[in-house]
Amino acid sequence: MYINQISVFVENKPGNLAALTEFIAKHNIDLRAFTLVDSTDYGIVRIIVKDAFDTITLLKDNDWICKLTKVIGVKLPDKPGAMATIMGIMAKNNINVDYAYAFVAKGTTDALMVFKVNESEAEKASAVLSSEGLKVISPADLESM
Amino acid sequence: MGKYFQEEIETASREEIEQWQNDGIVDVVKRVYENVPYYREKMDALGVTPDDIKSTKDMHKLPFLTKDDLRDAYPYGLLARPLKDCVRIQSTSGTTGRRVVAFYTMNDIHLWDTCCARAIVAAGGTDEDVVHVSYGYGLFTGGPGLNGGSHMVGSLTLPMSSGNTDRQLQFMTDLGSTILCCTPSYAAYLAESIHERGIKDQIKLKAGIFGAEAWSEEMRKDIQEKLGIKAYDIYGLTEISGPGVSFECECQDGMHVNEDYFIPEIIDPKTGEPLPDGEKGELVFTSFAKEAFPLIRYRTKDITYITREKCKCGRTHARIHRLMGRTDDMLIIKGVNVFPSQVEEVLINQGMPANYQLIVDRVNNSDTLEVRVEMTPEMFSDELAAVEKKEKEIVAALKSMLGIYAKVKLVQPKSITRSEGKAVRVIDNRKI
Ligand SMILES: [Zn+2]
Repeated sequence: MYINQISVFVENKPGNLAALTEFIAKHNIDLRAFTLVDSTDYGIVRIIVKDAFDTITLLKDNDWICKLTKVIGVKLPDKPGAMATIMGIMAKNNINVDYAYAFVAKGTTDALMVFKVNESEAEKASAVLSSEGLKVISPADLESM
Repeated sequence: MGKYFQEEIETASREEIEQWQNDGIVDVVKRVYENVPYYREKMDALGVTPDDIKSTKDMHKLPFLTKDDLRDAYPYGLLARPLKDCVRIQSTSGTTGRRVVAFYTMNDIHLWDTCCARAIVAAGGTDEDVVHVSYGYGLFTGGPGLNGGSHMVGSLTLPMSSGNTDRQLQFMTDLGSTILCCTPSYAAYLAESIHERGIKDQIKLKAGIFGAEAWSEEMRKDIQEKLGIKAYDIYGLTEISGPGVSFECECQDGMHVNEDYFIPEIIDPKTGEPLPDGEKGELVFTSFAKEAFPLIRYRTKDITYITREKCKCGRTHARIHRLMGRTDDMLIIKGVNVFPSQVEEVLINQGMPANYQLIVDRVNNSDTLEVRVEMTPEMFSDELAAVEKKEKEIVAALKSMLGIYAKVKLVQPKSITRSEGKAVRVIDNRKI
């Protein structure tokens, strides 16, 4: 099980990131998560929204360079070291994590963790987490969040 | 409908083609000399009269025409027929100042539509096809050209114009579009959108006719695979008529020039001397069959070579090779000659559309070169390391092509300075 994450290319120059956030606000895009990684010249904004297909079409039609990536979302148990536990499960099963980040689901105190693994290992990763009793997020879960 | 739109013309013998062109050049030179003072002055300045032109062998005596001439003569200065005979204008932007306006009589429109009809049939089109035209409509020639050609073939024509991807995909699936006409970059974009939505099995496309910008073989392979179609190149320019001046056949080995309307020449861009077939140089066109706006020896600034050997498809009209760059002005950076077309070649070889800009500066008495490249969906990755790797590959490829280091800066689409819609390729900030 996976959810669709949208990555957006943002050139590092004054006002560019603001232009993206303004665009998101103007079109009432309902954000679930928003993170930024950057180098000196450019950054990549990763967002999770309710309807990834509609949003990516809207972004592309307005000249934002973006890409859809399948990522795994999992609910973090409310106890210390939960994130380390999940990474431990991945390591134990020899699944490489390319990157990960956490966010809090809207209107709740639930923390969610998103991580990206090689596409060929996504199914395996999601199955392993479920078998460890963790709640893996489906696109339908995003709707109700 | 068969393999050709007009078999007798498209497979005529070389002798017949030469006869049309010999008659055509004599006729058009006489027409412009009598009716267009601008041409007459240019010819008089070289001491050439219509009597000196007896066949295409005498063409080298005629003056060239450049985009600057078209701007000088704006709007009516090159008109060879009374304005009341004209039924349409199309226009193209220049890099500086005035636009270029081209005029068409009803026969000129018919000629242009015929060129596009030949291109559609060469791509396998018949009156049973659904031709989906996603080129822009309006002053730009892309949409109107393919639209007219499609009507002539008798295909069902969808005048989609560009943009609004949702609507494009909806019509494509609901109405079963079979031939897609658009720029190669838009085709790649549509292919990606179709892939993302997993709707490939609802798409009935079999062919695509892609032009109006430079693209590479890699890009062709990619689009063909993703859409499950055969992708055909098409070339044209508003000044000469529009898309369809030359077009690819099923051999995908060069674009057939419609030689019953246009005479192609290849010249040395520096000396203006004609070059033999197979040699790379600047493409020059004479649109001898046009009524309202015939151009004689118009310099396109496009670099290619020409072959007149009969094609395996049976067509005999000359072919020009995929465009290999532009004769832009040479820059001297750190004492090294640099052509913007070299940068373009590097980008195209890397499978990217050539949206770039060179920024030349002088820091501490030393020249610097920065190449800005507009990011594309193909280059983009959701991981920083992958984007940085791509950037390093471009730096290395530029170094080996130019012999100097150039900093590469990836920028957002449409952020490169444009003047009247055309990208400004070079900004030289050196105060010398
Ligand atoms: Zn052929």
